Amino acid sequence: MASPADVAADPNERAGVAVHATGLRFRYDTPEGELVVLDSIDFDVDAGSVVAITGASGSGKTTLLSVLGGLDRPHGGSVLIAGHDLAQLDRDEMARYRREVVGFVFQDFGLLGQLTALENVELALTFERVSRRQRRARARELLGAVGLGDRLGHRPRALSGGEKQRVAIARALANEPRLVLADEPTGNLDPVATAVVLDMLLRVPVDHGSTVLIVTHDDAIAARADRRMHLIGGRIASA
Amino acid sequence: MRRRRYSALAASLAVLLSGCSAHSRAASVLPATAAGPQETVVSIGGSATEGDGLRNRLQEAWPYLVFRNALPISTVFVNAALDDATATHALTLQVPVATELKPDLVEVWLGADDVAAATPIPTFTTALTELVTRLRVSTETRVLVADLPASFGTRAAPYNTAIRSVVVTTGAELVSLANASVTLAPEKGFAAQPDAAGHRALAAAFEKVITKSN
Amino acid sequence: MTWRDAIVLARRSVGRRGGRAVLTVLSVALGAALLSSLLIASDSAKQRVLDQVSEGGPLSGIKVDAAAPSASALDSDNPRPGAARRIDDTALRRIAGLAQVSSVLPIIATPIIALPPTTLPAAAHATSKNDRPLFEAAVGIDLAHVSQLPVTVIAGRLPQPGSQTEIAVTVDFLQRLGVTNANSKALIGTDVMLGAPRVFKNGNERRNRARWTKAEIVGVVSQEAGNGLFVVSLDMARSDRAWTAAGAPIDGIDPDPSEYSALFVVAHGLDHVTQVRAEINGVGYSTSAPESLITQVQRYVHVVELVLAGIGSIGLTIAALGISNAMLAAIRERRREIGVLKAVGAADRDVRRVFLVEAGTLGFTGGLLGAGLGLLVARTLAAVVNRYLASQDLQTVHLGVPVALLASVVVGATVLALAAGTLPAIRAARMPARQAISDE
Repeated sequence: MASPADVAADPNERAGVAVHATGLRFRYDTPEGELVVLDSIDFDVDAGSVVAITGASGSGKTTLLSVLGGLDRPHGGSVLIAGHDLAQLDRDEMARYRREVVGFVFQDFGLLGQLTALENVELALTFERVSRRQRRARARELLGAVGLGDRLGHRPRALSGGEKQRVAIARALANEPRLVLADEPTGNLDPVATAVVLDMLLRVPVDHGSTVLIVTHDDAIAARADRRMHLIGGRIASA
Repeated sequence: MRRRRYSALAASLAVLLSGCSAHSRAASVLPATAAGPQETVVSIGGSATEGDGLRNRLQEAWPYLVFRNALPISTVFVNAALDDATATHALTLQVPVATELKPDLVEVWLGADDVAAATPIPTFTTALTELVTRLRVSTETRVLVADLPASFGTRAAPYNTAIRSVVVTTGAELVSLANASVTLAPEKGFAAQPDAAGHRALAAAFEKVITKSN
Repeated sequence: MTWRDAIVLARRSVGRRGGRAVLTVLSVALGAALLSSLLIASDSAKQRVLDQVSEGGPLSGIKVDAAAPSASALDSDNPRPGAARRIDDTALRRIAGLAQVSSVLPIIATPIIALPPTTLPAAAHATSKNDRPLFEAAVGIDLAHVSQLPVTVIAGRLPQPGSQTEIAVTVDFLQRLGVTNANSKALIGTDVMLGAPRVFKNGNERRNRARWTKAEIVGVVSQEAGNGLFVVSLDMARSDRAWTAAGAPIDGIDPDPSEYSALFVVAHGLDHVTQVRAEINGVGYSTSAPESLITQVQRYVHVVELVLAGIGSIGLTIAALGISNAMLAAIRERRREIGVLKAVGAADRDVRRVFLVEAGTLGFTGGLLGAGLGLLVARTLAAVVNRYLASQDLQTVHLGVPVALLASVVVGATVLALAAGTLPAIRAARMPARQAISDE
């Protein structure tokens, strides 16, 4: 279990990060009133581990991923990751956090249809002002590593679901993230592709040292994680 | 109807686009003329050479016909002829004009007014010799002297003899009108003068000598 | 994100939604075409009017007469000159040395007897007989610097500088022959005999002997450099004038002892014309210049220009609003894409940049197409107008390619598009990053 001291240790170290959440709250304002999605939850994630977040629809697991990825700001409590308290970051700092610390894998891949596989992977480095040559080399290397070295110039519409998700994983790893967040990464895949993608995600801590959090409904996937965090009604039921 | 509407549209656009008037570059543009060196030609003579009796002397008199038709575009031409000019007269009033111009070619046709005035042959010969000599200030200067055609009658014969001898002695060139059909038109109260056809014949005779020697 | 990356991404995004992009670009192109065609038309009209006023010469041109200035020399564009006064090289140099004088060109007008060709080409359709000599004048000008003189070529070309055998004739000459402007080209290549008159006195007897030259008509012009039917080289005019001046005075023509008949002075801009005129008057010569008329015309034309530019700008603004609308719609459709961009690290400014570049790309492309289209429209209209003008025996319009004007239309369309894209771009930048993961 990570201590607050561990999570704040060295924000520049390119290894997995620990996550330390205390009293984390998140709500939506709806016409019917306030809807609490995360209700003062506390948890810790060890650096370099694979954690599966499970729960029924509406239990808050995607929102938790969104908060941990810096896509949403918590409304209460604190989340310490790589020396950042996400509750205290402004918009630019939050963008920088996403750019430097986090890698996302989405259920529907989140690839830009107007770009090729290579350009989609490069996109993650575009905002880091990495030279074009370096970006291209890194993207080639990653697409090669996920077995798509011969699909570099293909647009997403020309790729299968499994291939798209492998491009998405390559993109998520482009910025050498210390925290990889996957939202139902196999939700749209057939069993064969599911197995390939899952193997890749589970190897991320081994090959890259990143911490991996996977939101899933699939018990089989959760069973392969180092740890499972089950949410019910915005609270952690078991961890 | 359609044409009228078209014109109305064009007219209104014209107000906008043309202002008052405008210009356009013509499609046909002549290349630069390669004019030769400028040459000066002077004609000396009497009433006929001046074009007396013609309806439009500038268009019809023989010196102008020669200038217009036989001489290069770069030519400068002055007709120094005067009415009733005898050789003596021409020596006084026409030669100074010619020498001022430093001519390259001088066309001389005298004698007709001397015939009319019955100038003594020796006087005529002396004056004509002096005239040609003064005109030939440079060996480059060509002086063409015409005799009198048959239409001037037998009284012209001694003058023609004199003219031919002057041509020989001064190195001038003879324009022989012996066979030229220089027809004369009588003028009321004045001596008969060549008509338009006569001038064309005179011009042809001069042109023949000018071009032959070129 | 660099501008280059933003341009690449924007170009791909525009290309992906081809149909919408084409329609948006077309609307901008139509607006830009309207604006550019109106501006070209008004610019052309302005140029024509000013050309007419200045007789094709520079707007800041001043005519210096061989005469002393009158008392009210500066009160009028065209004052009555005072007593005759000789213009020689010394006076020319003195005027050339004045401040704000750009150039000084001498003009020599000399009397001339002209004999047109006895037979004119049939294509000239001459309606007058032309077998009589014309007693007129030739105007000698510096043909190497014609752009600084009030001379406009209508057909053919000007004589070569220094030529003794080439001349241009004026529209008045055509009228004397009964030849219309439309048929003026037929006269080009024909020869004219020109005689410089000289009066010889012998006692009371006066004899006129002309110095004749032959010249080829190489062009038809409209000119205000001097009074005369023929435009010739200075050398030709000088030779003819020397012959005439050596004789006795010609009946009906004042003896002109001046070396030059007039000078044409160009000031450094219209603003300096009054000052230069005053200084030339100070040197002792009468001047005339259409400065008041030009200023007034410029003022009126400027109002017309503003109105036309306003109409065109409205068209372009409507097109820009179209861009704004299209982009707002696109942003609603691309929420997920914006979210993904933010998820992979795009800051607000990066997203703003991408959308601004998209707007700019649409504006620039539309502006470019519109400028070309506008030029085409203006040329088509000019062709219609020219057919009408030719049918009415008026001089036709020449449209150039106003590069600066067209470039400003392209820049204007781009700037307007950027302005129109600013709000959508800000809105896109402010969208929550959460859109990447959820549509909740």
